[in-house]
Amino acid sequence: MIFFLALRNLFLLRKRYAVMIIAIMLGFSLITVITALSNGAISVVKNKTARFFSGEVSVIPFSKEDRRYTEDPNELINYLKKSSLKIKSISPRTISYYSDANVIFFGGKYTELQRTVGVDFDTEYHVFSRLPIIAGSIQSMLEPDSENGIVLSAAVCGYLNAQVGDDITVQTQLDGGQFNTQTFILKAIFDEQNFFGYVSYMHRKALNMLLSYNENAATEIAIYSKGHTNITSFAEKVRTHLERSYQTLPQITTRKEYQLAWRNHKKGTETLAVISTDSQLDQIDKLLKAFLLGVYFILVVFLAITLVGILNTYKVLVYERTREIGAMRAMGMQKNQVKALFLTEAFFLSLFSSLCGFFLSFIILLAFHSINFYDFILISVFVEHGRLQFSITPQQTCINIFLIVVTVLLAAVQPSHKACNIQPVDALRS
Amino acid sequence: MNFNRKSIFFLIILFLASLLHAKENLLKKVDDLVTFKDNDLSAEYIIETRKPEGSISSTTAAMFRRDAKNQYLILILKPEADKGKGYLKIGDVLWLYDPDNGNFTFTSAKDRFQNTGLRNSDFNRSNYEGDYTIENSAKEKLGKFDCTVLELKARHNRAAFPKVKLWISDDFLVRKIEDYSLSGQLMRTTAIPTYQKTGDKWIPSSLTVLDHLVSKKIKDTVVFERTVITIKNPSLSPLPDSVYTKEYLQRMR
Repeated sequence: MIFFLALRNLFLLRKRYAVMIIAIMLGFSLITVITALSNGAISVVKNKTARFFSGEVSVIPFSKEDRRYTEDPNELINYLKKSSLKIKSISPRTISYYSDANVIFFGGKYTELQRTVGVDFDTEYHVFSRLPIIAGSIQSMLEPDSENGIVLSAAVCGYLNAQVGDDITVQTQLDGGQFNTQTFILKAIFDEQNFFGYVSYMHRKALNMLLSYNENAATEIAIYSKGHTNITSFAEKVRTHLERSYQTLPQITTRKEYQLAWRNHKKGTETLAVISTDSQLDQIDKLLKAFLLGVYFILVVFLAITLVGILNTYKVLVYERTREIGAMRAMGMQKNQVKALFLTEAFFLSLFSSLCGFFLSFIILLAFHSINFYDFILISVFVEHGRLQFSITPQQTCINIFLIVVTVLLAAVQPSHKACNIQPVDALRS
Repeated sequence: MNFNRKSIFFLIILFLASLLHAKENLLKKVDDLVTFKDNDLSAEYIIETRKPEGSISSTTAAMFRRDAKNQYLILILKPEADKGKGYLKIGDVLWLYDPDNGNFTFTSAKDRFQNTGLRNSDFNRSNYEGDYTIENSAKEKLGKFDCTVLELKARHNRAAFPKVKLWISDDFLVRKIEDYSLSGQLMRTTAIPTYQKTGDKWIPSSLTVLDHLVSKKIKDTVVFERTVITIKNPSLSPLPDSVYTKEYLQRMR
């Protein structure tokens, strides 16, 4: 009965409630847009980081010869595969780390890269198939004659004026510093204009040859988890498992800690370092968390304004509906029922407005997604295919709806309390 | 009879050893002629680089070298944008100084010098004898010079170029150098047609460096990046120790 009356009142008083509905709807969509874009940006950066470094979790062997290197990565891989850890994929990688050592030459120009990465494209296909390819294809790196293939970014190819099929000369330095060079065929170009674009991807065996390593050697092991949202805790599980059979460094939570561990590594000892994308991104992560904190501050301010606005509107509503309340009370409605009626109205009001806000935010997000941010270098780290990505999670949406509903109910408590205390005689006389 | 066989074998070994020694000695002579162990060397370097697409850039630098202590300091004088930048090598450590922010950063000897065909290590004293062993030798005429061509292989992995080919004229001066990567790809060719005598030693008057990695095909012709280095006003005057310091570069700001 109360539900029916509340819905009926909402419908009949729709013109009076319209301003409130619009205000809550706009606020809800604002919060949803900001959180969805933030989550999308975080997800994009984490994917790029996992690709650029070595998976969501990297296991890095520090060798006796003071190198990041292992002759037999399969031993470690098999050990981890036998564990109960939820692993989606595990694959060896070889990385030529030093930027001044990795130079790409084409057409009379050259550019330094942050790193040259050797990967097993078959085991990491699920990662590289998500690369935003703008020319050529990643599938071509799986073909039998692709051993001298290379994948470069649009930033590098744009500068060198290189196109798919061109011969690219790659220069690296061996661990001692000697130069080695090799010509590769450009197989694919991916869309990246920032730091994450200054990398080249090639077959691990080809890079091993270029660095004069053993054919099967690797410098890192890239691990992707199966359904883990907390990568830091997954990394710790990997580390704890490795610790049972190998000398392993304590948990590394920042890139600085990792660099310190590398500097302090003693020659003659073999140690494993385990580092997650969260640790690699600790600086960016802090920035994003600060940004999200700002978002939630805006949310709190918005909720406070909503609370005051709704409180005042309800006060006016209660005053205007005094005769109606009197009539209901005269017909036998109890005090608590009057209070429940007003609170139910507020509940449906907030729920309806939030749902409208949700659909509005979806339209706004689609509009944002349709804008090409390709030329905006400053935000290019956060975009994929030149477009902002968004992520609306059910949990986040439920939290936002819950916050709005609670705020509106809180605002409605005092006026509804006042309404239920009105005496029917006084009300009908007014 | 037995004695004769042993003698012949011994003589052959002796002959081969002397040949090898003569070749190694050749590298020592080459190094000695261009190394200034008893003096400081200072000179002005004018480095002009022509990119394959035709653009030309020019850098002028003052170079101070103390071979006895394996030190050098290079101060960029031109262009105006790079004026005051400097390189300081003390032992195996090479610093790059940026006057804009006043910072010194580590840099690699294998890096390009100011984006030219030169490497920072090209300013080091010559040490072919220490860094390379001779794999092969032959006689060859190079223009007007009768040369011994030596194919060298790096003794250790710190030498930037794993394989080097040298053309040495009869006066023990290097006239042409080819630097190869480990895969055998020709990376760089350096021609040194003229030298100038400084004291009892020699330094090149000019060098031409062709960078084979920075090349472009223009109308069926492969054009390489070409760097021409002219060395002017060489001097063996003693320099104070304070020249080979970070403070010196900071003062020149």
